[in-house]
Amino acid sequence: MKHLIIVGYSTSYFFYSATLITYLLRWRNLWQYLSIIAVTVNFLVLLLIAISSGHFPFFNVFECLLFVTFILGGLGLLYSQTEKHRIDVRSWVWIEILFLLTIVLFFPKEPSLYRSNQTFLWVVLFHGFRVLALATVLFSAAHFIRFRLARRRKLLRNHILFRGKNFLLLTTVFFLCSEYSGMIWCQTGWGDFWHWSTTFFQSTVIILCLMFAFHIPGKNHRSDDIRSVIGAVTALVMLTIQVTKGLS
Amino acid sequence: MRKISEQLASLYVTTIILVVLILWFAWGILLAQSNTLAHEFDVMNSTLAHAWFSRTQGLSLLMKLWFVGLCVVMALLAINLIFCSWVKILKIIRIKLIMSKLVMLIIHVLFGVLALGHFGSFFLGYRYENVTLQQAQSFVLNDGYILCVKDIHFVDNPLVLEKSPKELGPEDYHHEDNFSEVALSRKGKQLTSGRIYFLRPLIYKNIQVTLKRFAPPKGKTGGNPALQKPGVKLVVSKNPVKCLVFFLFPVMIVGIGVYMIMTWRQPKNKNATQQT
Repeated sequence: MKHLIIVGYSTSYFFYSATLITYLLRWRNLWQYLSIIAVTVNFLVLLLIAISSGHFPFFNVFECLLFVTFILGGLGLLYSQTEKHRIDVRSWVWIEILFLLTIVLFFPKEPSLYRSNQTFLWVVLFHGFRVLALATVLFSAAHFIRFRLARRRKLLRNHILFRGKNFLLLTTVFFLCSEYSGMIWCQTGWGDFWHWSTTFFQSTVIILCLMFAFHIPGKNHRSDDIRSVIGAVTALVMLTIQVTKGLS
Repeated sequence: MRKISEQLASLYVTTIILVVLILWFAWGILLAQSNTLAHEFDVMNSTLAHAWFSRTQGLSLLMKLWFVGLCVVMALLAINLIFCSWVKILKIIRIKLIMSKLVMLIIHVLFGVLALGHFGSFFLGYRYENVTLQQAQSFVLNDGYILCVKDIHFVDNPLVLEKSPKELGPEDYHHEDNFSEVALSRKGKQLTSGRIYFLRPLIYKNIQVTLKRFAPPKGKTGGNPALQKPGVKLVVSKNPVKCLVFFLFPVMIVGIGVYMIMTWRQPKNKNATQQT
């Protein structure tokens, strides 16, 4: 089973890479077919993990990042638009997916070890919403990066930046749902909804970063620039925290 | 006076406070990872805030400074929130009622109440951490309640309790079958009783009895048969603001969701880039 998972992971890595190359070359039909194959293989690997381990595939770094690439791939395929500019939002989504799959290279490519709480509803919801939040924040980051790197940013304000902001708001909803599930988990397991510990502080830092991104004052282009940088940095913070948790 | 209130209500102040809070929690992460301060964090997790400042088991100066600093920054954020909300209320009354702005105002008020409730939970109620009891033993709470462990039902080999929970496989430990039966009484009258499992506590009014883990048996052979059974490590807590926080938090999430739906449609822009 482990070999099948590694084969599946390598295959989806290959097809996502091919998708990026053909997309940059604007081979219209080919990149679409390749991306559909990549997302399908990605989904099959997740299904294989779920069947072989008996739990949802988002409890270790490998599972979590594969789940994120699946959602990101779906969003890139179905919810992004192709622009005249070669490196557009969709390109950034494929680049982000390849970046995540490269991070996965450094982690064991196997299902997470058994934990007795993996079937507990609030634990599942906590991890599930975390993964959703990470996927949507990376999708919004793709918009922010595209906006920030554009020369004539004014033209993209209402289109790209606004969409990035929307997905950052969706991230906030998912992340808060995860936090709420975590609070119930903590309350039932340790008798309190808050703990003075690294994990809780990291979650608070993420919430504060999200709040920061929405509270940048001003409506001029400089404020938009700062907003987009903070939005993209928030995605990086969330990803770093997720990966460092896996390392520990 | 008007200038001061405008300053206090400004978004610039909010962003500065948020940056300071991010840095403060980043410092907190470093402190929490330090081995020398592990005991201090245990104290913070097992007692309420007034004990942190007691002379006998209080926190070190560094941790006190960190916590007081956090409270000061949060107080500044609260002042900023009050002034900012007041300005928004005035705008809504005087100028125009925009539904999305009203929803955002409600979200901010909810956040303020939640933060206050969270802060209150550090001071109100009580908390007893790691109450280790054997079968038929009891523990007296400070408001006159008596917690009694009536039975401990442990189906697995007690030797697994010597291992770390991370080392246990599904065959080693059956968390659905291991439980303890506890009862809460006051003035000789039993008020409630029930089974507590891992992640399934007993709740009576605001009091929660949580099974943290099973403890290895104290006596291995002969003597008292109760001591040959595993014991239980319990957390007994009472948090009067728990219900408020657990009710308002999802309301705030729903509020953000509603705001997101209301503002999802992008404004029209003639200059938008051409799509293919």
